[in-house]
Amino acid sequence: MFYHHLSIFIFDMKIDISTRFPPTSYGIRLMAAENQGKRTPARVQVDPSTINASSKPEQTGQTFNIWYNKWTGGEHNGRAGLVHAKTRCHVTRDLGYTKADKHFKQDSLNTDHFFCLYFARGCCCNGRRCEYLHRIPGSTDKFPQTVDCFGRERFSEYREDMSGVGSFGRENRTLYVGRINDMGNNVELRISKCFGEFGDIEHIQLVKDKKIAFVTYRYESQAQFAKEAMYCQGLNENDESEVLNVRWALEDPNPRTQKRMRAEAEQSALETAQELLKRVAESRRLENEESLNEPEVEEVDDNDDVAIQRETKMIENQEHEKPRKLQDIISASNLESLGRLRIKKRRIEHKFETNTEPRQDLQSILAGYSSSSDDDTD
Amino acid sequence: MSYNEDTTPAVCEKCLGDNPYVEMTRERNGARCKTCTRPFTVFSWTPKRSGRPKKTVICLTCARARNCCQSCMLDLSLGIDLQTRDQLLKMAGGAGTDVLPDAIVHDARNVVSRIYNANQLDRKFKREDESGSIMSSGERAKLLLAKISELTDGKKREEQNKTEKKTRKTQKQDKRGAKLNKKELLHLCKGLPFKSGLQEPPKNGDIRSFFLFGVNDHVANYDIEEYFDALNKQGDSRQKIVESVFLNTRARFGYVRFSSREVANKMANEVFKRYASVRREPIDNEYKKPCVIVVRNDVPIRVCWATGTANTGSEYTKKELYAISSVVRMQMVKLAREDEKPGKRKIAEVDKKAESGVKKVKKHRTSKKKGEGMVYKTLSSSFEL
Repeated sequence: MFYHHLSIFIFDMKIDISTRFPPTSYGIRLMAAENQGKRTPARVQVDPSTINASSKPEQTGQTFNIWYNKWTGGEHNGRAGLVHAKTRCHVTRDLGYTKADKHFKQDSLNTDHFFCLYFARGCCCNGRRCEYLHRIPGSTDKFPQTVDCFGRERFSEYREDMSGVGSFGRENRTLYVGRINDMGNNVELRISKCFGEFGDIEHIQLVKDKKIAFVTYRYESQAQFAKEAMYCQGLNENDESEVLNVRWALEDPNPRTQKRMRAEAEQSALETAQELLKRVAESRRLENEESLNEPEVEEVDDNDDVAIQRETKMIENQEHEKPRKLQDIISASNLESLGRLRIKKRRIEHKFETNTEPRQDLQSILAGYSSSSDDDTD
Repeated sequence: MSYNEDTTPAVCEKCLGDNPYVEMTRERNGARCKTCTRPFTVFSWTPKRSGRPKKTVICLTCARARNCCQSCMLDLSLGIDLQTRDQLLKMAGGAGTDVLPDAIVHDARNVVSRIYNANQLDRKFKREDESGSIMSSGERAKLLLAKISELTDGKKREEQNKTEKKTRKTQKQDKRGAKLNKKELLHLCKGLPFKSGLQEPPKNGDIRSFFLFGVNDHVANYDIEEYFDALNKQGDSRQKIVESVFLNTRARFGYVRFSSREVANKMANEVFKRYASVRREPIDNEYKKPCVIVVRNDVPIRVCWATGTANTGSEYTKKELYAISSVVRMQMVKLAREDEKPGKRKIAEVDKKAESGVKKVKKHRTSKKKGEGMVYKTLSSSFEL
């Protein structure tokens, strides 16, 4: 339901749902295509025999730091400026399965298999024997905020020059692209072609006189991947003179975009909330079913009267404390404990044998999301 | 060191893994906390056998202040990320009060003040522990979820009201560009082929792009790409058929370029077929107007062949772009109306007049308003999934 008022006219023509398609992402489509045909192993991007593990980069400073594999000191303090990258990732050619795909089911959520950084830079020499994924991040790859899609730890703040792994403070899907040589000649389409290879581009913004562009991706992990893949590359593959400087973008100061971003954030938060509520309702329903199905398991303590008194008291308290509006959530748990109480009472009347009953509380409702260290009494 | 920092980390079950017997190593003052920069006790463990190890990255004080996991920084009770949770808290209102005790934590920029804030928090938590007035995470979750459910109910109602308001607002906005005269407008629209169709491929064999108009802020580049990818059912889908997309959302037009002319020809046919199949009035191959595609968010877009020189509008000022956007709007209205009643000439004539001056658009629209409402109603019912 969107408010594009022109849709009023156009929608008069019978356009059914079949004109629209379910959303996918480029990475997922690639994977699906991959799985349809014969699966291919990941390509070895660089011949392993050419790699010399101990090789230092070209001397640009006075002392060599073995920890960072960099030169420091000297005239430029080891910074030779950006040099065009030697290798480049060609996704459609290099993509394939690796060891990381072994136990991976299609369409399942991926939270702990990371992407290969060398693959992104176009220089992985392991091919199918690589422990990391050789494909593009898509909608099913969701990593915790504390790491990026390559498994590197992120920080609370950006570096001053906005380079590096980035921050977990806010979701940033936009990349800054600097040092573009030629701003004419349909540069938008060229950028779209180049950066579109590594993910779904949401939009591209240009600042012509500064020769920079901002590329926004659909998912943060795609931006992370593209940042590594396009760093020190050129828009045109054969053009060695162009060395793109790709960094994280600051927040867009344009009020129009900010407004849209705020609305989007609100919308996605609401969606998450609805998802959560649905999950809670679902697990509660399951629980109720379970408790209906197996009342025999439940048995009562010796000092049962005390327990009953405590529970009735708790329920009363709850009903007094909570305002009416909260009922849809709270009442279910009330009902639950009432039901348990009823069963207990019946037990005592029939004088069954006793034991402890399985506890069911919100911790279990939130299935695996809550901390084990909190003990939440029901 | 503060309270039980040395004995147990606050970690969510997802991070701990399925194994009930987790082995952890503890390192006192092992690293500096990523948010407050103070040293803290680092715990590390391996959730899956032969998997990657995990460790805590922020200190217990920071984690407790945010009610998040020390390792993955997701909310402990809800399992969602902190930004979303804070957004929800903000929307629910009453954060940091008795109703919702979770406070939204803002990090100070200065390192010293971060340390100071963390120390203050330490002291506060110590007091809370002594008085025993801590809320368990389960209770917190209950409260927040209750608030959220209120919120989602309220939002639904709000949204219904909003849609009506917004339509009026967008109409107002677009007057910004309507101050240019016809000559200037014509000059601006050079290279924007509003009148070509999809049935006649251009003679220039190098052209492999379509011109799109009617896009708005809610259309992303990937929407267009996905649409054409889905249309291309057979064929090698590993090869990208859409080479590049450019959308000028301010001026509301854009281009999509395909990987080759053959693909473009094929897509032109597919789009035309699809459009013909969903139209109420049948169309034949004589139809030489832009076809309609509907992308995500139900945004209708007109598609036709591009000209040889693509005008991306990147040289234009904001005002000029808005002027083009009003032209686009006019063209959309005009085409839609022509499609609606193809036989009646009168309306076409009126539209011709309207085309000559942007000023008349407004009058035009108001006269049609009654019809709009009616159509809209039927629409909403047919689009509820």
